Amino acid sequence: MNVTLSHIQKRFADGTVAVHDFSLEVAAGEFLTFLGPSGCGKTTTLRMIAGLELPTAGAIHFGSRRIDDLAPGDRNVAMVFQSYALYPHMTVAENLAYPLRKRGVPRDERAARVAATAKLLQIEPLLQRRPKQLSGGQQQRVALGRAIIRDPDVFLLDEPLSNLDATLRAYMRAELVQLHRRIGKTMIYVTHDQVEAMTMSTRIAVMHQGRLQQVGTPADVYARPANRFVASFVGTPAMNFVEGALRLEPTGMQFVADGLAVAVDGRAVDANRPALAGFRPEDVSIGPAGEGGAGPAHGIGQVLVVEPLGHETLVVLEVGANQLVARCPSGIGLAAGERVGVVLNAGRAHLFDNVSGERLTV
Amino acid sequence: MRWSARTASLLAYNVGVWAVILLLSFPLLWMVLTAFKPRTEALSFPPSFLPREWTLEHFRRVLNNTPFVAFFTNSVIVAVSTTAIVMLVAMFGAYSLARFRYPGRRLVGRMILFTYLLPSTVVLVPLYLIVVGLGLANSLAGLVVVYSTFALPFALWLLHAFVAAMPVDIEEAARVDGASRMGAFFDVVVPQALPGLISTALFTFILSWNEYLFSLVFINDTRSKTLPAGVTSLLLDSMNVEWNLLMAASVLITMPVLVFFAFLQKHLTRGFGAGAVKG
Repeated sequence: MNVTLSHIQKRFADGTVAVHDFSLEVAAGEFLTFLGPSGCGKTTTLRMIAGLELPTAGAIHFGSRRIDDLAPGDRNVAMVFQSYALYPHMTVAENLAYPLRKRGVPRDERAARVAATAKLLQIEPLLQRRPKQLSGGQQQRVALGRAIIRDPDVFLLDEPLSNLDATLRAYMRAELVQLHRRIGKTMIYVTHDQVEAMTMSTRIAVMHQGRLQQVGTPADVYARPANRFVASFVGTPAMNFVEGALRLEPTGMQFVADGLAVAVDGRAVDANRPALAGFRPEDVSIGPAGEGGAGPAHGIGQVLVVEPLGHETLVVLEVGANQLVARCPSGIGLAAGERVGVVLNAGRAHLFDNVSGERLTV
Repeated sequence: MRWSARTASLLAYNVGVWAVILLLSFPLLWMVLTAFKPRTEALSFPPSFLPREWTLEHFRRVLNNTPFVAFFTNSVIVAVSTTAIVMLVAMFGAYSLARFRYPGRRLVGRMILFTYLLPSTVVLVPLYLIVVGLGLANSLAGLVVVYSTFALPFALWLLHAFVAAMPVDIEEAARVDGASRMGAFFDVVVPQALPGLISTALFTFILSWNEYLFSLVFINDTRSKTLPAGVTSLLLDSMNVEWNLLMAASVLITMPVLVFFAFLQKHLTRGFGAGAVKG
């Protein structure tokens, strides 16, 4: 079932606008993630799709059917809450059967579907327990089961993994991806965790301050962030930003900043203007220090901090007035205070307007 | 063997607790024992603690020779009706105060308990006039109305706290799962509020069961009186107190409340809201 949000807006009674003029088309069978910091409007948008909040303007369609004036129970959506929201006074089996009971599914069929769902999620031994007797991961599975069991048109998942510990979260990410592949339904997922968004989504919708910033595949959002916010929010460690200016030199476009000069692909960009350049940590590397040495260093930096992570080492550099984080191989053998050459992957520089933060390059 | 400080403090604690329990329960115990003593023994000096001779005579007389059964029936009618009305209004009211946004909601929430600042003797006459105006003077319905106004603020306040502490997520999950707002209320809110509902029901029941002053003033007709006012007016006069009968009647009055408690006590302590929602 495809979901279409057309110009929806949410203004709360106190006057705050949580979601501004939001339009998005979610394709049938897609795993779409709303990604953004807390308070960006992603959960409010999800709750409008669920029917728990009413949009103050705009329309929501499932397929060709307009649903924004329907009660939550009439939309055939299933929702998994961050808190799991299991019914504490019911057993696991009763929790799973509840949505079926509300739809008047006969007792025999209910029992069969509870058994099948429990089998799918491997929670059969837990059926007679109550939620408080389950671990966080088990509660999570029951919450998923309660969503799957009714075969809804659309799944809505509101930060379902954020209460799990790191190991279990990584495991459940893979489980959810497999589950999505197996049932092939439209899933709309809300998270502030970019790792979840990157690893699970067909497409990511990045939100900030109630506005949609960018929609695209994870690779797209990472490689071509639409503005400074998206660039800074996606990727760990975050992208390095350097304020400087674009100059048209005889050799081509140059980005020049305090202590740095790098040739960039500046087609279709005005020359001789201030700009903001972004470099991912993996696009910053370390070369020999001496100017005129072997490496084509773009600047000279001083090592501030070395953070060995095992499989790689992060090096924080001071280059002129800027700090850059470089992602280096482990065992790079640097010490704080050393002077090094800084080499930038010029072909992957991201250029943004220094005021609006919008992407400049094509 | 030396006692550790922990054992000593545990002992002191237990002695203290038992002293309080004995102090509080002694009048009850005395009431029960006196009800079984022959009349002469009850008034003898020095008093005996355990009856030297056990008798059921006083119970027989209370039940057969007085309108006790009529009083009892009246009390049951009044207490059960009051409890039913208060529970219904308080549950919906508490839900509304906790979940809906409307002007004055907070003010009402805070002012609820202020009603208890007025001594009941102050509101006695105004309430009587209102009840007369409603045409409910000298009737059990009048008492039900008055007792409801007494119990409702506390019930609202207690249940409001229960509903407010309940995570909204669970209700919303029920609505997404296909329940209407009312359906979610009965499927999810009421079961979770059960300990609160039971506490409130007990409070209301005991309040209306034991109330004396208003029953005495509002009901003139002897056979329409409830237990506390009925029994005292019957067995106490300025010249003479029928101690044994009074004690036997008191035992019978206490029984339903004890039974009520015995059945519901385990629900009072069982809170299955715990662990429903993580985080």
